[in-house]
Amino acid sequence: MKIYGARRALDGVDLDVARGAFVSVMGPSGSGKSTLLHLLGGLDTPDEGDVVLDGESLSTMDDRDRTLVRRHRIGFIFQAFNLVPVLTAGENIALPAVIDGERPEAYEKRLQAVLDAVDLRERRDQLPSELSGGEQQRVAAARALFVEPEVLLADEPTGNLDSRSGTELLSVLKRAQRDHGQTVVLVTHDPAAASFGDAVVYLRDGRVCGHLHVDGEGGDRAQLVLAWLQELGA
Amino acid sequence: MRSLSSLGSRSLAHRPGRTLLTGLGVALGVALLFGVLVANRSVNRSFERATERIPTTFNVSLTRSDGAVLSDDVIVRTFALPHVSNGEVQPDRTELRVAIRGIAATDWQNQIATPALGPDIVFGRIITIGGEQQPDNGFREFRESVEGTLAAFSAVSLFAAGFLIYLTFTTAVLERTALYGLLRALGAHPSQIRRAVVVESLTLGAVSSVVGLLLGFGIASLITRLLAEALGVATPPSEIQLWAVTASITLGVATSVVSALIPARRAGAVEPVAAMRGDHRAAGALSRWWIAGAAMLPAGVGLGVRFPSLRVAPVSATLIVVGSVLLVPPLLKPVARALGVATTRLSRNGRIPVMHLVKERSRSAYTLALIMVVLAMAYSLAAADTSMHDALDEVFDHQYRTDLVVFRAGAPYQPSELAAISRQPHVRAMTALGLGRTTVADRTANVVVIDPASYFGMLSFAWRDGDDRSAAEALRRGGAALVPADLAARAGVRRGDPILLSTPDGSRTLVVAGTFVRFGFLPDMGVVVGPTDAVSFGVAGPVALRLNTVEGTSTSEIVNEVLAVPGPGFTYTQVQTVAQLKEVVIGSVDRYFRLFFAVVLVALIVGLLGLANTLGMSIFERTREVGVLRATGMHRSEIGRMVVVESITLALAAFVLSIPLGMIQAQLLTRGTREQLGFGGGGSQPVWWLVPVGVLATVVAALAALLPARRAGRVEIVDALRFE
Repeated sequence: MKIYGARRALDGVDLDVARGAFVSVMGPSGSGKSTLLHLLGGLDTPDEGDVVLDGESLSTMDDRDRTLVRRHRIGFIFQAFNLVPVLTAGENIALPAVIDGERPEAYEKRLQAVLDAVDLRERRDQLPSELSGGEQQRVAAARALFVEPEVLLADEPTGNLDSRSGTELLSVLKRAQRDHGQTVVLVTHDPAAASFGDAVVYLRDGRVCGHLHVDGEGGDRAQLVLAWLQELGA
Repeated sequence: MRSLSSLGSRSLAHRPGRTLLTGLGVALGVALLFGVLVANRSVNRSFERATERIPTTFNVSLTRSDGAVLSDDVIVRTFALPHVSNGEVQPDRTELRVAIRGIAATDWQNQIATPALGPDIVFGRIITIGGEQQPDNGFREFRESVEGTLAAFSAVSLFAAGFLIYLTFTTAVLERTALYGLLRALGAHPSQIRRAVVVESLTLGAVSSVVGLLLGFGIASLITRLLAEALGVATPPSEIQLWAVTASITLGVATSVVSALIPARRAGAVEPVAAMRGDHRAAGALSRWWIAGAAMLPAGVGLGVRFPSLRVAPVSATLIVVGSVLLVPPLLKPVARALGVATTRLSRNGRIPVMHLVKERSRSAYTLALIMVVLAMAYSLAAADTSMHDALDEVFDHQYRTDLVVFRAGAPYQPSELAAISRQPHVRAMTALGLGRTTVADRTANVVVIDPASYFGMLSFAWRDGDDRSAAEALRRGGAALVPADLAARAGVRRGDPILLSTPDGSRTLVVAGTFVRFGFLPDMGVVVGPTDAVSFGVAGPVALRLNTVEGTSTSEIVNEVLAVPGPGFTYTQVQTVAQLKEVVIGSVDRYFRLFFAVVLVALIVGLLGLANTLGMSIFERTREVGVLRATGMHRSEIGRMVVVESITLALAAFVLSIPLGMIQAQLLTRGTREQLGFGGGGSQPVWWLVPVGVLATVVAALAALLPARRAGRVEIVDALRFE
């Protein structure tokens, strides 16, 4: 449970995300999606209950240990990109390594690989203000992928992108799951984006009120999610 | 980028305008400190070199009439003469200085030296005033007090510069809260973020301090010149010492780092979720630091009242300033609201900036405090200046109510000489004064011997407690003294009390027959005794005269008549009209204050930078709001005017709050000057000075608002609405 003031942002949520799974979280505004993501990522702690990552309780960890979990095991992608304006695209991507005290020569190869994965090699030395929205979000995704985290948490990552850029980004996430076995939790309003997941969880008023296993290919998956949402009255 | 710490230097480079403003503030603070240190040192060394060359024991100088080098024969024969206890040949061998003991110097010259050495040798007197030779006694105190006051003012300026850094980093941290939240989300430890902020301030502090040092060379030569002028010595070359360089750089860097520590702590304590959600902007909450301010302010005032010495002034001034600064946040809201009633009329949308001022209380309050401190400094200086001029007028009205002041060094006037002068055709009235030395409550002071009969016929005293008739009677009887009010306060005595005074033969107790205001720059202002007590203080005879002339007498006529009376041969007589003397004294006072006003001016520039910085920051934060206002139909000029209203409201609030602070500081400064230096003045508050100070505040506000207003007016709507 998580309470903000007099409001219960999350209440009785019991969610099990398997290693290597891709779970989409949907729900109306204020339903607790982002709060759930923050708890999963150790950015915040629940007022009641627990968040367990691979057998370790995040809730009982002190701030120092939780910080290390975020640094090494979790990658975040935010809707607002959250890039550092004074750093180039390459430097933004490598920021977690800088925080970890790695020397540039030690992470250069990894950086090249990630830049290739998000198709930004040519834009490496550009400042965020010189990039398009789609490119900025790919930089943000690359930064999350850079540490090769066990879990990727994405909070409305396509919210500020056009459909093509959004699809490109979701493909990056999908490849991370498929090729590297990384666990992805995606918060979104968009049924098409949610259909990239293997499962969709629907939140309302801080509670889980629906769970969908997604099968099929391409547009069928999006249709399936849409129909399910209609069923839920969303 | 190798570490998070280099993020700081990137951020500095990313905002060159703000970095420049802050850096300039630090640089000015360092420059001022360095300038004061170098100037003090240069003038001190020059003074020491001058006094080293005149050992206090030598009282007669010998030179050849043609200015040529003294022969070995003359030197050897001089040393062999009776009563010569010591001597020193000057490096260029044109002058020999000797100490004559056991005989009057005049008698030694006439009876022993001239017959022995011949007419080619010219005798001069190494001037002393009164009995024991203490050439720089009062001067040293004056010099130390000037240095102390300068140091206090430069400390306040450095404090202002530190404050500017604190403001900049506080706002920068606030502005970058989301970034710090992101870094925390990505796994940065609070200590890493704190370090990044400190490294940023360290970089800024180090670079600015070096720039400040370069600026300081110029300021040093300016302050040296002003200081030398104020002390009446020749302007010496600047003496730069390694420790002055080290101290200035260290203080500049340390001030920068210390000022950034609190913002750094805040940055490290950022909660990632709250930061990225924007909850951190609830910065209007009132901290409890004002309670500490409420304790520090009276403590500083108490300290200043209890220990009025200018040497304690930096401590009491710091307590008062810091206490007042901490008290500003709870006062800002009511003051800004009240002033807003008037300032909102300057712009149709004037309510908006005033609301912002009240809402963003923390940053507004500390910027306001910065301006308040500088305005209070300006007012207190003006008050001290006015007080000194008032005291000067009062003293001149009573103690210099004559036409002419004559001072003779070398030998006292003989009765026959006095009679000859008084018989001169243009002399209408005359009184003579003798000068000696004493010590009152550990303070060296002059002793002035007057003849009550002639003195009170022409002159009076600026009485604090006493009157002419009873004073004349007491001095005529003897065993009584008139004591300057500051010395009486220092000794803890009043009229009618006994006072202990040192004499060449030990201590003597006289009764205080009256207390009066004196003016420290004038040498014949001290403990006044009658002729019967003159001998106790080793005063051989009068050395100064006050003359009234026959109406229509020209200055040259009377000067010629006074100089026409021959002295014993090697005296130096200075004749001045009272108007000339007053002009000289006023010139000294003005030079003294010009120096301090120059320091305040630099502090004011630092304050102006702080205000511009805060306004710039405020506009930056409200970019989206500016976009919305423009989108809903507000003109660019109206946006700019809003910024000006905000700036003027802030500066006027600072002005209002600076009034009580300035008055407190003025009282303490005037009191300190009076106690330490014997400058009179009742510490009157020159309320009319509030007008120029208020105008100054408004001008500073308008100047500071220029760039931010221009920037705000140029915001493009689409960009602003997209602004995060």
